[in-house]
Amino acid sequence: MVAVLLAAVLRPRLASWFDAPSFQTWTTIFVSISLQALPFLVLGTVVSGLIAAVVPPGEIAQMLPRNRVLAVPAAGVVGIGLPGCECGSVPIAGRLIAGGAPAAPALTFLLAAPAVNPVVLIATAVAFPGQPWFVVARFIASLVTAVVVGWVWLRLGRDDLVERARRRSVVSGSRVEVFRATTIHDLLHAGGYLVVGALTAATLQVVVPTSVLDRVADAGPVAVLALAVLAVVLAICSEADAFVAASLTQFSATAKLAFLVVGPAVDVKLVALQAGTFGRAFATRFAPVTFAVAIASATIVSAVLL
Amino acid sequence: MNTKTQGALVAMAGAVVVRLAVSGQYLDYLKTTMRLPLAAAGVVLIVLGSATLLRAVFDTGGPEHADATDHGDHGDHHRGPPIAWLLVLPLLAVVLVAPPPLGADAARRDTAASLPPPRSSFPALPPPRDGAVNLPLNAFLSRAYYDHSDSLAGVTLRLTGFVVSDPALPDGYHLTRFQMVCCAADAIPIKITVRGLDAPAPADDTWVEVTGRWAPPADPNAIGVNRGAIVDATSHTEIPPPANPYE
Repeated sequence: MVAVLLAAVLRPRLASWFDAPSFQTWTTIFVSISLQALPFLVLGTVVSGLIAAVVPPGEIAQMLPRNRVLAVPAAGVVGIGLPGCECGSVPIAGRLIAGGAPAAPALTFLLAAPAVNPVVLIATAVAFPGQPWFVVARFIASLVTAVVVGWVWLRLGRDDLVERARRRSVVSGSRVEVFRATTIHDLLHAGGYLVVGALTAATLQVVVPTSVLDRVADAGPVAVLALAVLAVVLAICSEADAFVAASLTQFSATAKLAFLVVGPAVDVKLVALQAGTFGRAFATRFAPVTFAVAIASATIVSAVLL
Repeated sequence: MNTKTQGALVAMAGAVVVRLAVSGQYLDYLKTTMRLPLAAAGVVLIVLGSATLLRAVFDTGGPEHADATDHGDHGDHHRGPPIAWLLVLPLLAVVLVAPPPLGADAARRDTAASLPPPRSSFPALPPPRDGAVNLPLNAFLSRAYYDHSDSLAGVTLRLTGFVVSDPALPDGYHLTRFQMVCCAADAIPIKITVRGLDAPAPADDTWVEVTGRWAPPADPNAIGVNRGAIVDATSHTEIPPPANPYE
């Protein structure tokens, strides 16, 4: 209501802003990212609602291997079976933790699901025709990243950092009511943070000149870091990123692989979603660790395979 | 945000999204294949939002009553998260601003040399229609850069895109179209140079259909981007923007 009032009062001034080409470009990108993520976010929150309604709390923990070190790679492999974008896997992982799953395997699932599912791998194969090893490299590097981050969390992570997810509403009532209440809660919550991410990504896309890329393309390790940062900034869907990577022809294979491994694991939209779901203290630790592990994993896998 | 507002907001978002999918306006922002997922998501939002709204309106006995009238303090989970108010922003952007598809401003911004991936073989060109071969800009660019059999030589082409003017081109402009994978955020501009026109370039973002021939590179030994992508135009006509502005 406030926004509508403001819009009415500021209308004459806004009209000139609205017509400015750069504002329109910004708005187009903001709307595109929001709309593009929406179906995947809805799918993720509906799955999250179903988990809350169907699986009794505490039972999720028993579905995983008892040994926590083994539970992490098991969760990574489960991620292969869920074709979806990264926006959908955040509320699902949050719900798993709320339902009593240990944090490390849930986080591994969070990282693996959007990166190693069949839809993403097929898209990568289409974007890199005649380079099957590139698809294999992406699969291995992403899975290794997810598992290593899970293990790092097991060793160094503190459970109080995901307290926010554990405290999440547990609704009582009929199954339908639990489903409805959980889904709308998770949707509003994740949706709000998704908007934060979309605002940030759209702003960075409009403000940061892409000509910077051409200058660092031949710069070895700097080029790898540059494309990894680009993946964080662009915040594009894991099903689309392979095509963007393929168009960055001036960069080395290692740099492109880093782009594809970092993108589904860390980007501005995801960090916003994670901060909302698990808490800010969590996101400020999880994102840098994941970023570093992803770059290391991409570099090593690329050296061996490509 | 009380339960009523939550329901209303989600149902409204669903309605806006379904309208985008049905009207075809979603094509300004997304790939054609996103229509069904978008519509499905919209329907889920409408059902979820309406169910929540109805529950809040009719169930006046329980804790929802307190929520609906804003007096109760029954814990966080009945009151929606404040961050959810941000969902109003994309809705306002779609309804009030209705931003156009990416155009000349975005094309100028994107200055990195993003190229189509190199190819070594090309299929035969499609047969001409009404005296010219219709070619998408990315197909033209790819052949101009990488096709050393010069399949474009001597062929009359018809190309569609929007105008990005350039002071360095007094008798032409950059014919441009964005290529999209998923959404406008990943779109890459494909720019080719049109020259040889005697009239001044139309205004930026004007959609045109250009007829002309490929100009072979001045240096026959040039490779890739150095071969250039230039069309010597014989005519151009302004056309209405296509339903799907992206390639």
